[in-house]
Amino acid sequence: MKNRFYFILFCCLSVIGVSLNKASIIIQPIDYPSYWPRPIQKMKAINEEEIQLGRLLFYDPILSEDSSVSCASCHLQQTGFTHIDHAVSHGIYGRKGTRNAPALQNLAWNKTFHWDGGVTSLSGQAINPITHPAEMNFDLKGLILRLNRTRKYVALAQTSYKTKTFTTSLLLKALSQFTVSLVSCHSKYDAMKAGKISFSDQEEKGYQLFQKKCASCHTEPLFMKNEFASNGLQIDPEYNDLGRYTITHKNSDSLKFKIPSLRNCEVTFPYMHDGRFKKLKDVINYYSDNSTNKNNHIDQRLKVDLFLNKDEKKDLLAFLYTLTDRTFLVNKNYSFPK
Amino acid sequence: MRILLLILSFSSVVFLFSQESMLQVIPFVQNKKVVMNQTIPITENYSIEIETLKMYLSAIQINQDPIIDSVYLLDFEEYHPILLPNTKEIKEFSFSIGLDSIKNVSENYDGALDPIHGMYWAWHTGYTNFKLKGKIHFSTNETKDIELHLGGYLAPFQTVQNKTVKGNLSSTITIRLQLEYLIEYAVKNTYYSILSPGKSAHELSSLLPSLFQLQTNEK
Ligand code: HEC
Ligand code: HEC
Repeated sequence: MKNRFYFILFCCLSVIGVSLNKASIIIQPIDYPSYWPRPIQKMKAINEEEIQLGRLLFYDPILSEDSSVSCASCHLQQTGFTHIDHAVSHGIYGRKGTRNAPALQNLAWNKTFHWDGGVTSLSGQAINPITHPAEMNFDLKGLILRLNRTRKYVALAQTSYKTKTFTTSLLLKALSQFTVSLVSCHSKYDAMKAGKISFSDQEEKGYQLFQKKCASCHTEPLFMKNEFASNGLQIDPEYNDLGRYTITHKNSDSLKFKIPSLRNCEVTFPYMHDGRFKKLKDVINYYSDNSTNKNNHIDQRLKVDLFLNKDEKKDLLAFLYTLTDRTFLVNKNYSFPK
Repeated sequence: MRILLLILSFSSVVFLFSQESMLQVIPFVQNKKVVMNQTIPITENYSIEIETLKMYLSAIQINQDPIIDSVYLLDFEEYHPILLPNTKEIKEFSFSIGLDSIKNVSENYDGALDPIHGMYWAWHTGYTNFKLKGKIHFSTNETKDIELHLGGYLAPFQTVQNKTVKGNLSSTITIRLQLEYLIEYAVKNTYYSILSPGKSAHELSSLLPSLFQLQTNEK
C-alpha cells in the first residue's frame, strides 16, 4: 500500500517536473518574411527541446579535448556568430586554422556549407570542428563517452528523448537544430521591404549601386547565392587554398568560393575565406579600384566596370550597413544559456 | 528440474542460431589468412602489415530478394560474421561494397552509420566505403606507410561497387577477400596515400569486386 503511494507520488512529481521543464522552454518557431524564398534545408518540425539542447552544447567547451573551446569561441553572437579579429580561426592550444569562420545565420537557405561547399549536411558539419586538430581536436568516441558521464546531458537524453544514452545522433541533430534556428531577418533593409520605414537618400543611392554591381551574386533578399564563384582574389600564398576545386577536382572550379551572405557584414569582419580584408571599406576598394590585380578565374559578372567614386563608395557602405540586424545580435534566445 | 530447463533453453538458442544463414568475409593475402599487425609477404620484393581494415557492405540481396536496411560495417579488428535470414537454397547472393549516395547523405547516424566508427568524412560529407591502413616492408629494408580511404558518392567519381555470386551456395556464404590485388595495384601505381574522393579513389574502388571471391569447398 505504502509502496503504491510512493509510486504514485513519484509519477506525479515527474510529470510536474517534465511539464515545468517544458514551461521554461521558449517557443520560437522559425519565422521568416513572406518575401523570402522557402528554406532549402528540411527543417522538419522544429523541436524546441532539441534547439535548447543544441544551444547548451553550442556554448559548452566540454566538446573540445581539453574543455577549453566551445563552438561559440569561434562563432560569437555579437559578431553574427563569426570569429572576430582573426583572419583565420584560432582553436585549441592556440592552433591556427586555414579559413575565416563564416557567420552562422539563415543556414536553412544554404544548399552546402563551408567555403568550398564540401559539406552538404548541416548536422554532419559539426563533426568537423569537433575532430579538427586546429579546432576542438577531440574524437567523437571520446566525446560521446564524456557526454554520457555528464549528469546534465544524460538526464536530458532520458527525459526529453527517452533514450538511455547520449548518442552521436542526438548530439549532431541538437547542434544543427540550434544553428538552423539562427535566423536574421530584422535589419533596416527588412523594415524597408516591409514598408515600415524608408531609406535615407544615401542608403537609397547605395542600394541602387548595389543592385547594379553586386546583386548578381549577393542576391536579395538573403544577399547570397548557392553558387561558387571567384571574385578575383589572388591565391593566398600561405594557405594555397583552391576552394571548390578541392572538392570537385575540376579545373574550372579552381579558386571559386561560396558566395557568402552580406547580411550583418558590418560586424562580421575580417572578410573573405582567409579574412584578408579587415574593413568593409577595404572590400569596396578591392572591387572598385583593383581591376588589374585579379586572378584569371574571375567571374564574368565582375569583368564589367566596377569603378566607384568616393561618394559612391560611401553610399554603398551606407547601404551595406542597413543589412545589420541588431535584434539578432543580442537576441537572448541565441545567447549563452543561463 | 531447473538445470534441465536451462539446458533445454540453451540448446534451443543454439538450434535457432544454427538456422540462420550467414555471410563470412575472410581477408587473405595470397594464401595466408590476414592477421592484423602481422607481416605477410606479397611478392619477393615486399610484404604488408595491416593495421586497419574496415569496410561497409550494404544492399544485400538473397535470391534477388533485398534485405531491408542491410548496412554492415566490417571491422577486422573486431570481426563478426553477418547473420542473415534463414534461407534454405541460396542460388544467388549479391551486395554492395560501400554505401550508395542516399545512405551517404541520409543523416541517419545510428548503428553502423554512426560517425563514431571513424568512417564519416565530415569535411565533404559522406562515408569512406573501404579503409586499409598499414605498412609495406620492402626487401630493401625500406618501409612505407599505406593508407587507402576509398569513398565518394558524387559523379563522376562514385565508388560504391556491386558484387554478385551465383551457384548452389551453402547457407553459410564464405568469401575470401584477396587483398593482394588491391595492394599490388596500389604499390605499382604508387597510390600510398589516398585520403579523399576523386580519380584515384574511383580507380582503386573499381578493383574491389574482384577481391571478393566465393570460397568453394575444394579450396
Ligand atoms: C576553431 C574555430 C571554430 C570552432 C571551435 C567551431 N567552428 Fe564552425 N567554422 C569555423 C570555420 C573556420 C568554418 C569554415 C570552414 C571552411 O569553410 O572550411 C566554420 C564553419 C561552420 C559552419 C558552416 C557555415 C557555412 O555557412 O558554411 C557551421 C554550421 C559551423 N561552423 C558550426 C559550428 C559548430 C556547431 C561548432 C561547435 C561544434 C563550431 N562550428 C565550432 C571555425 C570554428
Ligand atoms: C561574381 C560574383 C560576385 C559579385 C558580382 C560580387 N561578389 Fe562579393 N563575393 C563573391 C564571392 C565568391 C565572395 C567570397 C570570396 C572569397 O572569400 O574568396 C565574396 C565576398 C564578399 C564579401 C566578404 C563577405 C564575408 O563574409 O567575408 C563582401 C563584403 C562582398 N563580397 C561585397 C561585395 C560587393 C559590395 C559587391 C559589389 C561591388 C560584390 N561583393 C560583388 C562574389 C561576388
